[in-house]
Formats: sequence, structure tokens, C-alpha cells
Amino acid sequence: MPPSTTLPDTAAPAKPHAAHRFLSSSAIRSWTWVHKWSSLVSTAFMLLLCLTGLPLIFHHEIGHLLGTEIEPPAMAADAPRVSLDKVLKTGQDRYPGKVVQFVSPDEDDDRFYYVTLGDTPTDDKRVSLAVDARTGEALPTPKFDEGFIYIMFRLHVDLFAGLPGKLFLGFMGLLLLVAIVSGVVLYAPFMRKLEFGTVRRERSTRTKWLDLHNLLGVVTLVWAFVVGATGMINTWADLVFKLWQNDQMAEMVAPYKGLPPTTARGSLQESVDASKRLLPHMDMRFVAFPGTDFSSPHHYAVFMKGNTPLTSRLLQPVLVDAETAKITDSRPLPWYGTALLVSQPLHFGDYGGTPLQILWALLDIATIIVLGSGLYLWIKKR
Amino acid sequence: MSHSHSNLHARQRRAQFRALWAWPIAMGVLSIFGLLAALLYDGLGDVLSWITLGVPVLVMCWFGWMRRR
Repeated sequence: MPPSTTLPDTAAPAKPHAAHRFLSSSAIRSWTWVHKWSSLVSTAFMLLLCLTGLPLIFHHEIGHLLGTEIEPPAMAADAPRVSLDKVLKTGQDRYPGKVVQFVSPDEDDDRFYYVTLGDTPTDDKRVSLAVDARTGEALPTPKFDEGFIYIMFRLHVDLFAGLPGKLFLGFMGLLLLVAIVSGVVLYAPFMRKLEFGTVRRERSTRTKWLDLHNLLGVVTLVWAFVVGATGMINTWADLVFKLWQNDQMAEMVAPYKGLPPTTARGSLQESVDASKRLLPHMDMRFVAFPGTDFSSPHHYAVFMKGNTPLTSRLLQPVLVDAETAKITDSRPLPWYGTALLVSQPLHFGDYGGTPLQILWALLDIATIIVLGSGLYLWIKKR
Repeated sequence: MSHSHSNLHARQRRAQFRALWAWPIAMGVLSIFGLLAALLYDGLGDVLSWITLGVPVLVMCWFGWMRRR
């Protein structure tokens, strides 16, 4: 006899068999309460995050289609690279009234750099210019703060509300984790008499969706927990950064405290070369210029990344005296910085090629179905 | 909860635990493996992550929609 015919059509858990039950009925009631409220409060935002996250998985591909990706002209793959000082000059010449804040190679395409400038070193109204790494010429650069992907990004990251928006979404992420854990606890009483994967289609629509909710919920469990937890950690990025600034960074630049600001600037290329000699197994991810939050008034901070899938996500700053281009200090990030950086790929799903992106999207859609069916089950029960 | 420590009951409980959790645990282990494989190793690691994360997706499709009795 298939298990479905032995169960009542109600969605309530089967009456526990005293000797075999995992939870007392009062414990089930408590966990149901936790599951209901943690889900209800966060569902609307989680649906928003899942829906906006879907296009973000493919932001490069979509940008390519929309023509907002930078396309450097085709040249021989081994075409020689120009000096970073030339790249820097191109950016500075394009915006003569502004100061350079950052220089970085594109993360996925080493044929061009970004030069990012602002009115002051800490100005957050930034402009970026893409510069061809082989010619040193400026490339047509789309604006980054407009368009479909930008709107999806802001809705996903901070609801256009800055740090409070981030922390709010982080709290919603925490509720999602609570909902996942309580959902797993409740899986036992609901599924004790059913085989894994049972979907009772012949019963009411509500029963069918309860079964699908349990099936998709328990199968996506680990993925959803990891993406939810790493997403929550990412909402703390600004705070983690501030902590690092006041902790390790402050220690590293302490010897320069109180000195007058730099006047002359040493070579950027030399600074990066010196960093590369210090950390030969790493490559430059970006350079923060003197006076930015990532550096001191006296240093180029050359942030180096490793060259394996994992270490390429990690950073080690090398502080270079901005006048002499000599290294003054370099330390691996403290544990909390490493934790933040490792949590990024695990949230984005961008570390295993296109098939992983597609799986990320499918698991995201499954999560949307879990959220939607959960909401439906609650509405039907009222 | 009334506990019986006889072998029979212990066996029953184990069997029941397996019936309930074997699939979810397998899906979870595959997911963790897949999430880490691509992060730690390029090439083969990527391929292993596609397979091990692909299985839970297929399991959902199969039990959720494809299987008809």
C-alpha cells in the first residue's frame, strides 16, 4: 500500500507513535511557530532577493547582450602591456580636476584597467574610465550607476538605502536561516510516514504543495543555507572593512602618523613591481591611492590576490611609500577579512564556469518555489 | 517520550532514522562537496561541482514533476 493512502488529507503531521517520535507535540508546536514567523517576516524580501539575484548571476552575459560590457579591440593575445604609469596618466588627463582613487585590472579580462577618480580621495561620487592595457588608450566606458543590472544590484544589496538597507537585508537573511533550521526540524514529523520524494498529487492542491515544499526545501537545504549565510556575511562588509581599517591598517600606517601629506608621487608601476617581488605568487587586484579609505595619506596600498580558485578571492595589502615606491609593510588579512572574502564566491556562484551559474539559477528558482509554496500553504491554512 | 533500550527498538529507530534522513543527508553531502570542489580546485573541481550540485537539481525535477505513478 503506498504511504499516501494511509494518511489523512490534512496537512498536519501524522499522530506521533509514542515509541518512535522525534519531537513531543508541544515541541512541534513551538517549532511550527518559529518556522511560521521567521518565514512570514522574511518571505517578501527573500522573494525580492531571489528574483533580483537571478539576473545578477548572469550580469556579465546580460551586460554583454545590452552592450554595456567593455569590449577592448582584438589584438594578439601576447601583445605587450604598457606601463601602469601611462594607464594612470590617461585616466588623470581625461578628468584633470579629479584625483585618482583606485587603479585595477578588470577581474575577468586582463586586457584593460579601470582608473577610478573622485573630486577628493574619499569622494563616493566616483567616475571610472576603462583604459586599454596594451595601448594605454581610453576605451568607451559605460556608466555603472544606471541600467537594468544596476537597479537589480541595488535592490539586491541595500534596497537603495545604503548601510541601513544592507543590515536590514542581513537581518532578513538571518530569519531565512532560522526558517531553514526550523523547517528541517519540522521535516521529521511531516515526513515520518512518507517515502522521500512523495508528492501526493491525487490529494488536495494544498497537500501536493506541502509535499513539494518539503521535497524542494530539504533538497536545497545546504545550498540555501550557504547562500543565505554568506549573503548575510556580505551585508557586514562595510563593518568588517571599518574594523580592519581601525585594526590592522592603523597598525601598519602608524609610523607615518602626523607626517605632512605627500607632494611628489613615485612610480605606480614600480610600486606594483615591488609588491610582485615581495609576493611572487600573487597578482595585483587593485591599487588604492593615498588618502582613500583603503590606504593612508602616504601610501599606495597594492592589494594582491593569489592564483588558485580560492586564494584568488583573498587579498593581501602591500603598503608602498607613495613618494619613494618602497615597500613599508605587508600582512595577510586578519581572519574576519578572510571570512568575508571567502563568503563572496559562495554567495555569487561565479567560481565554476557557466554550468555552475546555471545550477545556481536552478537552485535559486527552486528556492523561489519553496518560498512561494510556503506562503501559499500559510494563506490556505488561515 | 518512552524509551526502550532493547535491541529491537534500537534497530527500529535506526531504520526509521535512515528511512527519513538518508536522502536529505545524501543531498546535503553532495551539495557541500560541490560547493567546495570548484572553490578549491580548477578544472576537475569544476566538473565535480557540476555533477554533485546537478544531482540535487535532478532529484527535485524527478520526484517533483517528472515521476508519475
